[in-house]
Amino acid sequence: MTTTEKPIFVRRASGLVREMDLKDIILWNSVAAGIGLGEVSFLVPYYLSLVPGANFILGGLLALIGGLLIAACYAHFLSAMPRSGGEYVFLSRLTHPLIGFFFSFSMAMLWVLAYAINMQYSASIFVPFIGNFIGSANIPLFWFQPTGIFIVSFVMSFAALAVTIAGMRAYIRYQLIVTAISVIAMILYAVVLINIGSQSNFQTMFNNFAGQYYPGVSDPYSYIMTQAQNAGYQLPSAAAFSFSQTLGMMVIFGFAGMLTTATFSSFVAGEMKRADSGKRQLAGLWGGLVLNGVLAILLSVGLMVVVNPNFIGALGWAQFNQPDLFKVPTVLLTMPFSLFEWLAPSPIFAIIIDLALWLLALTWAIMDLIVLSRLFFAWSFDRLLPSGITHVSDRFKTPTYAIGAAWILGIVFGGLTLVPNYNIAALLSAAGWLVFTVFIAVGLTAIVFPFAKKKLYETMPMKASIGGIPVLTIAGILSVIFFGAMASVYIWGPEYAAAGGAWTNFTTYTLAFFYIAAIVIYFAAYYYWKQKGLDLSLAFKEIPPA
Amino acid sequence: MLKLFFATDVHGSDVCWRKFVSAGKFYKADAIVLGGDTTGKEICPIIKYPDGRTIVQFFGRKDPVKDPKELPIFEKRIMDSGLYQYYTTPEEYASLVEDEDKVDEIFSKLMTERWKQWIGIAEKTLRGTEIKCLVAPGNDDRFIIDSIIDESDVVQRAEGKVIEIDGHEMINCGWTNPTPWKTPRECSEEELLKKIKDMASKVRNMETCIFELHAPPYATGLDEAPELDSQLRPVKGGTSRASVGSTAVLSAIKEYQPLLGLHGHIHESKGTMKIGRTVCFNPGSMYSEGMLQGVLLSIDKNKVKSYLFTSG
Repeated sequence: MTTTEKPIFVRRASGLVREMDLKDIILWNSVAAGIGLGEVSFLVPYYLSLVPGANFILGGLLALIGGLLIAACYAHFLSAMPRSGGEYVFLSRLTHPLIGFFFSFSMAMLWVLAYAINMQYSASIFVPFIGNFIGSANIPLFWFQPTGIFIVSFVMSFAALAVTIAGMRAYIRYQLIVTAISVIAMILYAVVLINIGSQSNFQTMFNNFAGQYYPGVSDPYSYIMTQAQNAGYQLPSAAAFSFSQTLGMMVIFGFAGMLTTATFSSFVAGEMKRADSGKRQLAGLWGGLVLNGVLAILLSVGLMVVVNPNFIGALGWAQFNQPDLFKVPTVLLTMPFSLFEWLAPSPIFAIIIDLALWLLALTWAIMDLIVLSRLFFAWSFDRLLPSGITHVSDRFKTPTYAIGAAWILGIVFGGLTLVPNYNIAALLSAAGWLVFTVFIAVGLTAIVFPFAKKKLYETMPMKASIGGIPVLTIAGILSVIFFGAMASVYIWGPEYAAAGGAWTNFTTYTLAFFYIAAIVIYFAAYYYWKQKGLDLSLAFKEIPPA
Repeated sequence: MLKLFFATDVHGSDVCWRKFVSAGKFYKADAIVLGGDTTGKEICPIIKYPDGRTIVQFFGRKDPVKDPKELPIFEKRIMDSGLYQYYTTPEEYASLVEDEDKVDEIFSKLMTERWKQWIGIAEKTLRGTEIKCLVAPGNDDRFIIDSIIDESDVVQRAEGKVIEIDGHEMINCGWTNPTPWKTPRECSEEELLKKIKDMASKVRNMETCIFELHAPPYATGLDEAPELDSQLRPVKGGTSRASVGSTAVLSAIKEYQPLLGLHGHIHESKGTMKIGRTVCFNPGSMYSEGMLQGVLLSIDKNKVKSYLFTSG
């Protein structure tokens, strides 16, 4: 057929329709990390209690540069192969289907884990959120404990399922609402900071609030810092600049979502309007990354200007090392926001800030479901999973079976939190390793692709060179160096990697299980289809021309 | 069991044709079938100036040829992208801009030449093998190419015929429902349905029959293309998409329920869809990148046992 649109690597027609414009993609990438707001609760306490000698802004900028580099590699590949399915799509086609599936499957397991964690996190915010209305003291302790949290997360998971199945158009509307609430929450955040005005005012306000939780202590503010120091906490103000800790800060920024943001739209690349435009793919990835990074840094710095970093660090340190010192009511990892709740001029502030945090966490879980369903869909389309998974609902235009499968897996992983000795922190460490190694694989592909598959490279919609060297190759080299350095944190600075959870034997076994499962599934599919007369390895092999 | 490789819409791409004729051996297929739209859509003028300069007008760019040794490289890129290289002078080029009939004549000449070359390549590659090679010209293909294909004893023209492959009858129709471009082989939905029915009436066993119909069935996800306005410009920058398949093809498949439907025409709509018992495929096309997209099928007597989309 004659068309006026140049058909370059356009996605497969599969019933999934293109709903997302550039704004939606930027928000998709940004919301995936919390539009800055969701990261503050993670970044600030970790910085001040774990790497106080780091230069916070330099660490953030380094992480941003790493994100921009790997995003540039993804944008090149996505514009050439604008299909939903993340790195699976281009790694399987440009290297080998097994390599693509190997890295993609292990990343998928990460998203299953992320879904379970995000649902738990969302539930653990929801319970105190309800406490704003009925009083936290009126909520039985059961609902703050793992079983209660799991039950709440299970009930809420139906909401996540409903939004996901309703389709991308419905999700985009939902995303806009979450963004609007988050923006309002950020404004309130600024208002509270302005209202507090200074570090000395904060001390007075905190003492007035916290006195009830520290009976007999006249100055809880100073008491918390002194007690933490006595137990080993080092005041950030006394810490000398440390470059290695700054690199550690970079890793923490990475864990806090900077790296997820850098590539997240790759999983829905086929649902983006004009997805074969390299500039659009790059704008979506970089736009989300910069928006998120700048907001995260600004909100964090604003907090540390008004609230003495020594005090925030002490609270953060106590949260992780000496919980009995931490008597003020809050949920782990929402502590900075709890400060606002406690000191806000109106309860409505607390309700809106909690609502934003809760919705953001729920949205992360919804995104994990969407990402997983798209991965299942992509694998199934290439015959690695049963073809029934590719069923796309005519009504919702979404792969309902794939979404259902992802949802069930997420519930199962979430249920693991009820198992005694379940080490979720060890899995977080595995998650960091998986992200870094996948990015290294993508970087290596970016380095060799323009030379190994020159002809294909020449047809890519996005290509440029500097001094005769393709930009894709340069971005690949820098990405490999960057993420090689980040992965090596497990060797040179495991205490920084501990921001994503300590590496234990459980981490090793989990990774080994993921990797072996990927290989087993690939070869099971390979031999199944071979016995039926099809060789899966031929799917993307170039036919030698006559 | 029949192992069949189907590709479509190569639009003049020389490398795609070369890959197509190699695909039989590569995929160990019994038969290779090329759906319609085999001819290119654009001429690439190579203008030789009196002062010795040579300019190649490739995809809207004017590339100067610095060294005559570069010309074969340019030619290969042009041919692989599905364009026809045409050596001309500045004077002729200026006159051609104003003379549509002459350009049309050149198109026919270049299409004929390329098809003749292609037949030679196919005969060299496939003669003496057991691989059946079938080609069914589509709506974009002028009728002049039919006679060139008919001259070959290796490549079989399937369009408008009921062909038998390993016990499976296959009806072939390169005609489509109307397009905005008024191409050579398009007709009304009623006429198209009649053409399909005429062939279907000759089929002895519909249970094992293959419908190789260039137009995809309407509103099945195999037929989504950018929506165009009255000036043939994409609506909303190409972001608005519409179903442009054939209701006649949909209706014929629903009525006859053959084993398999093989379609093309809409490059962007790669996919598979089941209509009743009939499994329909559109492997899409990325000919301008020199990539041959296809679908490899293992077919039992009355069942599609397995399939694999390929990007060769």
